[in-house]
Amino acid sequence: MDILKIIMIGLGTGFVSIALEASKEDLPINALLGSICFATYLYVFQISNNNMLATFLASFLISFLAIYLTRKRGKPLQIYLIAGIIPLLPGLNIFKMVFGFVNQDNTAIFENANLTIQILAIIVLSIVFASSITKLLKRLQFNIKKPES
Amino acid sequence: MYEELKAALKAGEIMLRNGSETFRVQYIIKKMLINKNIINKDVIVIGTAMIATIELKDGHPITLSRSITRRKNNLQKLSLVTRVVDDYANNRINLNEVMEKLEKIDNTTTYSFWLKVLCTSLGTFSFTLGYGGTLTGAITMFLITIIPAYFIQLFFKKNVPYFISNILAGALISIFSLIAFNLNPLLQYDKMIASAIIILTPGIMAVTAIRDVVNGDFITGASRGMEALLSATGLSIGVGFIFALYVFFTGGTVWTF
Repeated sequence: MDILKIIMIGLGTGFVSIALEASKEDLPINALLGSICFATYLYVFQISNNNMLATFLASFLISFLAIYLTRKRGKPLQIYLIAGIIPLLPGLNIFKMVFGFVNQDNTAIFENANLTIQILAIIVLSIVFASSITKLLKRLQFNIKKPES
Repeated sequence: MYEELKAALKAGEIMLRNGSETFRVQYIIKKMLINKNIINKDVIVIGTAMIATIELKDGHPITLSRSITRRKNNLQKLSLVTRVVDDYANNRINLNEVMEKLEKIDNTTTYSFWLKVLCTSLGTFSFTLGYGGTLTGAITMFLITIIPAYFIQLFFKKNVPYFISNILAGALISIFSLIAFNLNPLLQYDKMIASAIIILTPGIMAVTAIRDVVNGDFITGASRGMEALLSATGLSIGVGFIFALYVFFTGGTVWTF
């Protein structure tokens, strides 16, 4: 059942990528990134029951993959990153928060604002971590001298 | 030099108009300014404007600015502009070719109007199933979002302010959802609404806003954050207004999240 969910999320990411006008050659990659992201989220959530940890690890993995693809294919990071994290975006929470404003429901406003900020901050933190680690690794790679034979 | 600066700003303009972060636009503009007569270059980019100044060897400065009025997401254009700038920075193409290519990229239509409408609806169909909804729910959601998706694309084409277009999209989704709800009260509405909303709410805009803030551009981050909030507000006003009318005329509640 989870496999079907993962496939459908991948397809959905591919369709949304068309709405975001990604190029045709990137569509299968974007769909795959969406699937990997959701599969990671589901797996981590099932073993830890922690939404934030699952979001962090899923977007951390996607950030690494996006950085790798960016270097390999010479395109901006945003192209793969945005598509990859679509399944994690707290769109429903943003909506519920503002819907709370319309309905004058303070609990809904604070609860969802809190959750939205937490999820967005965790996604961005994971992106920053992934890019910092990649830069550090690259710098270390250049600093390590090859042993003389 | 003037032509090079003009081309650099054109590249930056296309990037900014199609959803790029400001630090990347800054990088693209600086990368294009390769003329050996330039001894100093300074680029300021905020969410809706760019100012670039170059200082020449003879001491003369040249400043150009561009303002951006309308932004959207077009990932293909970002990728194409990056490739053109790379080619120019590595001396593979000349300035005339750059301008020609940038004009061509600017006027390119990646996908047809109807394909984008269809894919938005197919996206909600797939996400409904992905988030654990039923097949009936997914098909219902696909049908419900076709008309709002059509209007969203149409409003964008006609330059209707996104706040108004989101109000109307939210209202249309609510009207069709209420019709479906009355026809089949057993549908899983939370999952269906989640899948429709994920496409309409400005999650991507919010992430870009926070990335701008993390990169030290607080002005753009704050303005993009406001844009995301306004966009979500428009959507909620549309949904809330229709729900309120429905409750007013029929009594009771529709659903609670």
